[in-house]
Amino acid sequence: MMEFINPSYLVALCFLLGALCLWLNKVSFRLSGFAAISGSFAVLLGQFALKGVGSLSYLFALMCSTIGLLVVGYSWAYFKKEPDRFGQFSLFLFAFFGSMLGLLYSKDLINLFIYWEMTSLTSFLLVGFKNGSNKAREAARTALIITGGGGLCLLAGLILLGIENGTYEIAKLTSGSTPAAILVLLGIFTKSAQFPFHFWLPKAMKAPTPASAFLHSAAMVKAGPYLIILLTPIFWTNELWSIGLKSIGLISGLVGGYMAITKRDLKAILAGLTISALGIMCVMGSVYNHAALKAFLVFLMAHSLYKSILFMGAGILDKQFGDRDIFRLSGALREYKPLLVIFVIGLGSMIGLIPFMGFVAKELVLKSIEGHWLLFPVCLVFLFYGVAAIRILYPLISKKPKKVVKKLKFSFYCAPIIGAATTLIFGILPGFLNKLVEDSLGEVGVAQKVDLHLWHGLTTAFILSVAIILCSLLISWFMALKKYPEQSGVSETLYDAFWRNVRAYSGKTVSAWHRSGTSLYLYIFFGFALLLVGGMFFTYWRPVVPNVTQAPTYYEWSTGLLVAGGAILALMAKNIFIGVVGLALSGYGMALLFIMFSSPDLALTQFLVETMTVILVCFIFIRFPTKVPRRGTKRTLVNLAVSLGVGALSIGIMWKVLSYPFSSAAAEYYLKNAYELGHGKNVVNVAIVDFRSFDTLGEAFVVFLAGVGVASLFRLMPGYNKYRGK
Amino acid sequence: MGTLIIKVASKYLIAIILLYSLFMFFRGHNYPGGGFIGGLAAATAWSMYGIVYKASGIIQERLEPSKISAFGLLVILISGVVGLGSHTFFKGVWFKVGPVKLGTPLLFDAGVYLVVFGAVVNIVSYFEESFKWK
Amino acid sequence: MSVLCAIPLFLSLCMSVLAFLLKGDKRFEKIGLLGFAGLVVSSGALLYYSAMNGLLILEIGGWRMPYGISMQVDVFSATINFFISILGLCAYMFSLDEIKEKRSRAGYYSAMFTLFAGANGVLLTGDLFNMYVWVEVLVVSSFLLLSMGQNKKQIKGALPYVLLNFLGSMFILSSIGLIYGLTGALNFAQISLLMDGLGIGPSATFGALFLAGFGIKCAIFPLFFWLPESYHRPPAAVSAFFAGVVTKVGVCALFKVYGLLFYKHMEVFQGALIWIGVFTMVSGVIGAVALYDVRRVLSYHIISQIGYMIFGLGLFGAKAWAASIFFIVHNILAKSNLFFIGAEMNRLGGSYNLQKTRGLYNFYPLISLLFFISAFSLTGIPPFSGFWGKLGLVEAGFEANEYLASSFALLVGLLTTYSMVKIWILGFWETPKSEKCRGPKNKYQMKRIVPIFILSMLSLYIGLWPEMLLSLSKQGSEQLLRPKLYQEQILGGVR
Repeated sequence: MMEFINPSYLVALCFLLGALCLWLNKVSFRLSGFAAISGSFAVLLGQFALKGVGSLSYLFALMCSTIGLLVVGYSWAYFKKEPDRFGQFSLFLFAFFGSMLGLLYSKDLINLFIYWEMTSLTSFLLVGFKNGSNKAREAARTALIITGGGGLCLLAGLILLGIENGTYEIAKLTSGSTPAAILVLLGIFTKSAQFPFHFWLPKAMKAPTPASAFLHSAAMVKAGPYLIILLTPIFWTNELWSIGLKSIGLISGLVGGYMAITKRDLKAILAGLTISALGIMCVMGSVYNHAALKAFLVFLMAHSLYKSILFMGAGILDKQFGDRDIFRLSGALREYKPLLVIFVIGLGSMIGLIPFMGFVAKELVLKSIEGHWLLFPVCLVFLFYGVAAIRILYPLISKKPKKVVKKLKFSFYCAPIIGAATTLIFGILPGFLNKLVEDSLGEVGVAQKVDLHLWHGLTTAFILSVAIILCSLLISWFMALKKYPEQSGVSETLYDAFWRNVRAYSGKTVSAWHRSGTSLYLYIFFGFALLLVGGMFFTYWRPVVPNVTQAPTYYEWSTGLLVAGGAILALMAKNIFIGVVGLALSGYGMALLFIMFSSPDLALTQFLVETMTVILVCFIFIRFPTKVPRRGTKRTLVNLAVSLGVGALSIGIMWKVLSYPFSSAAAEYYLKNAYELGHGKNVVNVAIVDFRSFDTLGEAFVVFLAGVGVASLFRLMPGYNKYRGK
Repeated sequence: MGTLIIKVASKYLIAIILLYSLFMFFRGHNYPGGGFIGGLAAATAWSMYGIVYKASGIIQERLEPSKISAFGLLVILISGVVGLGSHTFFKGVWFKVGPVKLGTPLLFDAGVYLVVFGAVVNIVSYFEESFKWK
Repeated sequence: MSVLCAIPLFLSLCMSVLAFLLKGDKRFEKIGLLGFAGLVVSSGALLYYSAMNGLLILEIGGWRMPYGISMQVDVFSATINFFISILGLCAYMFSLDEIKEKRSRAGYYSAMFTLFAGANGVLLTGDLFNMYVWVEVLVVSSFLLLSMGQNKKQIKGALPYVLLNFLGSMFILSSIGLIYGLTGALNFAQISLLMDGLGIGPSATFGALFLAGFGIKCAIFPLFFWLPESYHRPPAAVSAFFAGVVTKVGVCALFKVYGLLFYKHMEVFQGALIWIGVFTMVSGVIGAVALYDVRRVLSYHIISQIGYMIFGLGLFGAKAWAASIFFIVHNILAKSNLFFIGAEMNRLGGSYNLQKTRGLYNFYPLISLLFFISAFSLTGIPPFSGFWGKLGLVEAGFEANEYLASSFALLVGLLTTYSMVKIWILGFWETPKSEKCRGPKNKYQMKRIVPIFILSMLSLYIGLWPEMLLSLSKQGSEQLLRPKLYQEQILGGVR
């Protein structure tokens, strides 16, 4: 038994491989291909060292890595015509590969989520790889938004699980609530392209075919089923979980099947079949018994194999003939015998012909739902498969090929041939997979011996299979070769409409915001402040009227009136300079009040500052017309209301504060120490330059910066450069 | 007519205000006054000079008030590091020269004086000068 | 050792004066670079020591607390300060290439240093009024940077900024004055002690006043309208520095004030803060989805991200605050970097408008990669840095039973992704239309690429290996939420 290494090393290895290929590709295309293939082989070998980490992860990862190896080899041949892009492609492919492995080997939910999102991100890069094409970019965006949105639901669900269970470790999870189940299902359905989130998958066929062969058959779309089986032990008691999986799975199965028999693009047909197959997997995964889950795993593995080789075959046809439309590819397979073998084996596995692995899988599926009402819809789905297979195969072998093209290179069909051979071998001798499946099922709690055979005898399942195939042949006679117009489904239309409306709505809102003037912003601010502060003040602190111990003397209140009068004059003046006089009156009045309350320093400062202010304000106002523009009555009233509100609130808070006894500890300290430690009799000055010199430091900088700022603004005036001659 | 009166009067006024500003500055530590007040007063005097004699350009070029302001900041910062020995900034360091006590707060105040003076003169002179830029 | 508290501040003030005296002089370039490097080093040392000791205290002028002003450096402030200094260094480097002589002679670098000094002061001070002084320094420096060397239209856009900021400052100052009138104290720790005994009224009222005042500076809903008018106009170095400093310092001030002064009656504010946060998030992302000018999209994103921080503030728990701190740091790095990259997109692609500048991916893979890292960091997709902050916030949200608000947080994440993908697809992937990017004619400039690279790598680092920053955030948030300990340490005379 080998010691297992840390899975993160393997993940890191994948990323490093990607970078290595990118770098090597600048040197030599062959060299980077060699590095890629040997690297992925190393990753595959690395899986054997990781067996101890977990059997379920191991099964999925082994499947993933095997197909990954085939795809890497295939992609090298695929990019022979544009070698300089291979490096970048390998980078993204290996990044995806690493993320996928990380996902499968995660031991805790957050780790799993991180890799889940990383697969979405890397697949975004892969789908949009041909970034010159608008359709590819849109497809990439759709894929990312949908899987990303689902990812957010998944995150919410995983966090709920974590909170409920007190831990994120998968092994320690015990229960799951319904909200968590719904959210996790949303995440799974978006990732695995189930209805109504299925439409991103056919669009994503714009990706280079090697990417589709890996992501959309064996890797990314299998993340959903992985999560299903991983979480089944905790969710299986939840009604909504099994209902959700069954219903959405069946609907997707039918929708995908329908898609497969109506599309023309070979890859789109395969995409539809993937959606459908994933639907079947969802249905299988919703039943927590040994037979169903065994069927689930075997079906999953069979699907990965046949789907990837079919995609690879489609890619070969695309490169050789430059087209993916089945009606324009008539007789293409007649030219290339190896390709014919690939398609026959792949399609055969898909519809469940002996002796392919798909047959084993299909038997298990049918057997596990014997006697259950699910049997009918599932058979319907398999019927669609049959029709789709004919739809693909018949045109490709029927007539004579229209174009004469080059010979097919071995390197190109090497990988899919190996894949096809594997399908055949695992079909005939599925016993190789016994231990793998058994251990995995044991890990999720359905421990039982697993014994896979090709031939089980003339069981009900077998008869049913044969019946389905015969029916599909019959139906194909009428339906398989029909041409349907291209149209988007309901979900896609809704999705597009949604984003159109979001953009339109936000556009309108933003332009409304921009058109508003500064005065509106001011009103909003004051309104908000009044509401918030006033609300808090009146609710929690209660205003209070202070008791006046001393009546103000005549000079105090008359100066007060002067201050108020100056302010009112400034507001109501019709001539702008009278307004300035009002301001000055107000300011000098304040200075007088300071003298009356024995603050000479403050008064001196106020006098000087007010003088300066008046001079500067006059300088500014000289450039304005002297007549102050009148505002409308409505505007004036609003302004009045706001000002009175702010004024009243300030007075209210101030009175409340005054009602508390003033704590004079600080004042006493300053008074006591000003002469002794500060060596000065003027406490105010000592406070400014000694006790609180730090404040003055900051304020000095403010004054300095104000000067610099004014100067810089003046430099912008048009006359400046001419006058200064610079 | 009006400008002639202010031109003659300002000669005396400016001198008085400048002396007053220095007086205010030095007495600040013990009696009402201080760096800020002194600086503002001096700035008033110079602003008067600039406005009455339309001398803002000369003020900008010869006096360079913004540099004075920056220099004032430098003085403030220096006064902060003098007392660094006691492991803190702006520690007051005093020494006696005859009957007078001199110390870092005085230096600090001088810095404030220069900053305020420089900045305000800068602003006012730009305002005054801008009238010529049409 | 506590002298270290004031060294970054003092150094930046000296550098500012030096920058002014040498303005327009080419020799200053290297001096300035050394200056910012010194700030990074001293801020880093400060972070290290404050993490070791918990709290560093320096009494300015030697005057005993609580009557003198003191600097109180806790882990939270030191962390933010350190990352702001790194941002400052990068912004400075970028400015060396971007800023022409006209601005430099108007005192640009001087204002940069004082902007940093103001931020530093707000974060590290222990005195309430002193905090206001440094807020003023920050605000005036930002006015300077915003209005320097601009044309008429751009200054018009700065007008709401100036007005609203002044109003905000007015509110802050009034509340400080009133707090002094009520408690007779200006030292954070002492006010904290006294507020405990005063009941719910003062906390509620002054908390609201501070929220209104600082709320303008952080651009929360409904006070954010000035930001999209003004942030996209100045040069990228200025926008980036603003994005990372000005709004974040406002948020940090709110954290400090609520954590130390008004914590006892926080439940009054929680609902309001959480929903203000949600509205802010949504408003910001609406703007980001609708617009096509890179700088304006990024400005709206700032608002959206601030929403998350306010949401975290409202959740008021150790985990939520730790997540918010992580979020603030991640934003300082990723957000500002995006502004720099936007400027590069303009230079290499010909325009800020996404409908004109295209196809950068094929010609400039390096900048595409760096954009990819920063942009997806912002959207919160793992493995990038934004994920950890979001995870913490949503976790804390769910634990506090705020399911609806947390769902909004996630939804806004999706919309953020949508708008970032829009920039990626239009700006980078699309086929180039303008002549400027038909071929790799424009070369990378070192002074521009190095800061972008530094910020991207840091962002990537805290995304892939978040442990260190997470533990600092945790330490910081725990400190903020134990004001009793804080009071003891400071008023008990510990140095």
